Amino acid sequence: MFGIEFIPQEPYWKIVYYSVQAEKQGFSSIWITDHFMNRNPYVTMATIAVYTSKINVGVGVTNPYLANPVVTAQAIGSLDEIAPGRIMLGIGAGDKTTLGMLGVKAGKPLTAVKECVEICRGLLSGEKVSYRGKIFDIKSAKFAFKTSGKIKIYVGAQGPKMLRLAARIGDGVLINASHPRDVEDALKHVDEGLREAGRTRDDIDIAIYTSFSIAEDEKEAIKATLPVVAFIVAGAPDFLLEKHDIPLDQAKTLRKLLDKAAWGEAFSKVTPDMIEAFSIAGNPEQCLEKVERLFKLGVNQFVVGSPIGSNIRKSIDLIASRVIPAFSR
Amino acid sequence: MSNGGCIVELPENLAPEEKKALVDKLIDVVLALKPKKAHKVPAEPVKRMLEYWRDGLLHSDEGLKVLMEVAAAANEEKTAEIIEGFKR
Repeated sequence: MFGIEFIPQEPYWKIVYYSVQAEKQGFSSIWITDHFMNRNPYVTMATIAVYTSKINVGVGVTNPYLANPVVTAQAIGSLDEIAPGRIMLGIGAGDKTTLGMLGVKAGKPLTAVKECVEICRGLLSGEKVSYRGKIFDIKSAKFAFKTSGKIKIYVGAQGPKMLRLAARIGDGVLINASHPRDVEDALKHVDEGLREAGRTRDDIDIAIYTSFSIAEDEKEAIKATLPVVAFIVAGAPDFLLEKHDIPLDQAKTLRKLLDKAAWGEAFSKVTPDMIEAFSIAGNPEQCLEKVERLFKLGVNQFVVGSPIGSNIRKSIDLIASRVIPAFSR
Repeated sequence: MSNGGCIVELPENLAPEEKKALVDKLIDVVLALKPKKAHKVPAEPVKRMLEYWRDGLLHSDEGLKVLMEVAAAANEEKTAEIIEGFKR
């Protein structure tokens, strides 16, 4: 299965255009990112839900800090009325930098995500929820409307503890990784979490959220991925950089350049090793080979994430005509 | 042919493959619009454009007219240049 991520920094009509295209071309899911500076993900999802009829649509991912879980579940439940059985909820720890801009302290992420999932699941199942957690205290909440009861909750995860939690409580896990070594390591933690909960891989949808860039011309695909990789490297923890033999001083240089908005210089410092570690970029044949390696590890859903390509419309066509068919045989 | 606020006219007697090529070129004009200039696109025509797209009718005469209107709002000069290239 193939999913695709859209960032609502673009106007809704572009995202709807690409979403309709993705549905026509055989993608199974659309994931909308959630950052306060962009358009609201649920409004974006509503427009997509109206213009499409088959494809699943999810927020990928929201966090437990900016909105009370009851409000998140309310938005998701309302969307389910527009597209019954097609709405997905992705919850993760959130981006500390953007939450910090609002003075929100993203503390106790494991507890916050766990409690948020439990509250949302209860409400979306039609239950009356009374929940006394370490973070949330819901006295009594019940929706005055019914949902399809088929809303899957995914947990966005990268670190070992969150991956284990996702495997224990999620209907799916969204693993933030593009390199086979990272995916392989992540799956070990997922398996551990599944064992702890007495579950198996059959009980969960394992989705990887990649940074992806495809074009007929490899150079064009790589050029499109430079800004995304620059930001990934700048925000990556040291252990992850060391794992991929990326010198820490190179990452430090990138951080400094991005901090002072020296975009061109920053992007010129992105090395082939960085691109290899944190993205899937290339011509259709190169991308296909990398996608195949990841599916062989046991992934169920491959999410094509930003930048997708320099011309997103053409890139979606390329994925549909040259990558997806290899997996539908 | 009047086309809302659009000054460009739909080329006549286009073959189906030419219409498809024209749609691709015009939609790229629309999709290339920078997010900060999104307000240039008129709200109602863009909704109609998406409806034609969803229904597989963007290459119809009516669909093309709406697409031209949206494309011209996004980048009038580029749209006129593309249309000119399709006129015999």
